[in-house]
Amino acid sequence: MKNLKLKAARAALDMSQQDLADKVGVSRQTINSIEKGDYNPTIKLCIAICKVLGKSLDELFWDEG
Amino acid sequence: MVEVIDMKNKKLATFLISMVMVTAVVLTIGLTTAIHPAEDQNVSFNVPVDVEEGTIVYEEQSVRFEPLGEDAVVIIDSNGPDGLSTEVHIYPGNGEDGDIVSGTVQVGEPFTAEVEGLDGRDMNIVFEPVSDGSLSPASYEVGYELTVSSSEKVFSGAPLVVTIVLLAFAVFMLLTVNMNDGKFDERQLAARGEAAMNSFMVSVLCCVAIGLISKGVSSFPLSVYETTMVVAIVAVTTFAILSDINDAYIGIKERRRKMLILTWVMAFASFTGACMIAVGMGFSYDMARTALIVGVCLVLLAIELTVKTIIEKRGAKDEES
Repeated sequence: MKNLKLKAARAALDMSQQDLADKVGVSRQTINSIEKGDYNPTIKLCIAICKVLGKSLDELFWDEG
Repeated sequence: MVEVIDMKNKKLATFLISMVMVTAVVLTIGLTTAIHPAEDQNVSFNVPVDVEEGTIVYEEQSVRFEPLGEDAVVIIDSNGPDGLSTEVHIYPGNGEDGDIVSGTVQVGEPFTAEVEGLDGRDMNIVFEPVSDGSLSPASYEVGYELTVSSSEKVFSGAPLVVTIVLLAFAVFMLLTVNMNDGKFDERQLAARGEAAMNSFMVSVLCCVAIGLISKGVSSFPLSVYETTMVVAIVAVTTFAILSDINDAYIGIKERRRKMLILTWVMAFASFTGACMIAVGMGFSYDMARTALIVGVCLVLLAIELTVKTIIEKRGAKDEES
């Protein structure tokens, strides 16, 4: 399932996938995989992404559907 | 802090266990090949024999071998006219203990003697041609070919040097693999793990296939060197290609273009090396064939890297949308 909330949060801060990847210390492909729903990140990486984007875990990774 | 120490201990344990396994295998092979049986000694010579009425005239021939250890196996083949056999006497040292093996060598029938009790002394073999009386008076010639296998063990330093170099290489490789903190992210490590498992299975299947095929063929065309190198190269190539397909071959901070150029250069160098060895030694030489296979594998990897780079460039344009 695609993570559109992550993509939207990143776009709102005008960050590219590479920018976000550099800030959390992963490869651009990993961010791409998370956004496409191909990869389930560990809680450690989720927290790192949330901190960079200024969002909570619920806001980015909680599936309300 | 506790987590970091725990991870370091786990990596240290992984490194040590891997190192113990490699050291056990390499040292066992290195030491067993460093002390090996002496090479077979081959001697051949001809003896002129004059057959006269009722007797034969010849110059007695004896061959002396340097100390051969406890035991030796002597194989004697002779050629000459039918009706001319040879009495063979094998003595240890100067013959003070008498002959320990004697027998008759018939023309065209290899004679094998197991000589025991040499106790590190020289071995002398005396040849006495004997006529069965069927030969007409004339001059003949009897040819002898001797092969002597010794039980003596000799030491050679080359396998030990190779063992030490291999162990140093193993330390370097295992440290590189285990101590690469932050080079790959969590997704890449997981993908590399899967790729490693798959390439390991590929190498096991290759080993089993080659082992079974070699059992069924009387003269297997590949040498041990070639077989092991080919299996290792195929496994490494499989790992690299599978990792790269999952974007896990190149680290977070590494540059793809640099890796691509390096791979093409290595493939070219390997092909050039294979051609140079083939010009000097011929393609029947296993090192030439192995270098060629390395080149083919590197070209496959380079092609995969190139295709992936092109796909990546296109994907990078679309992904931000």
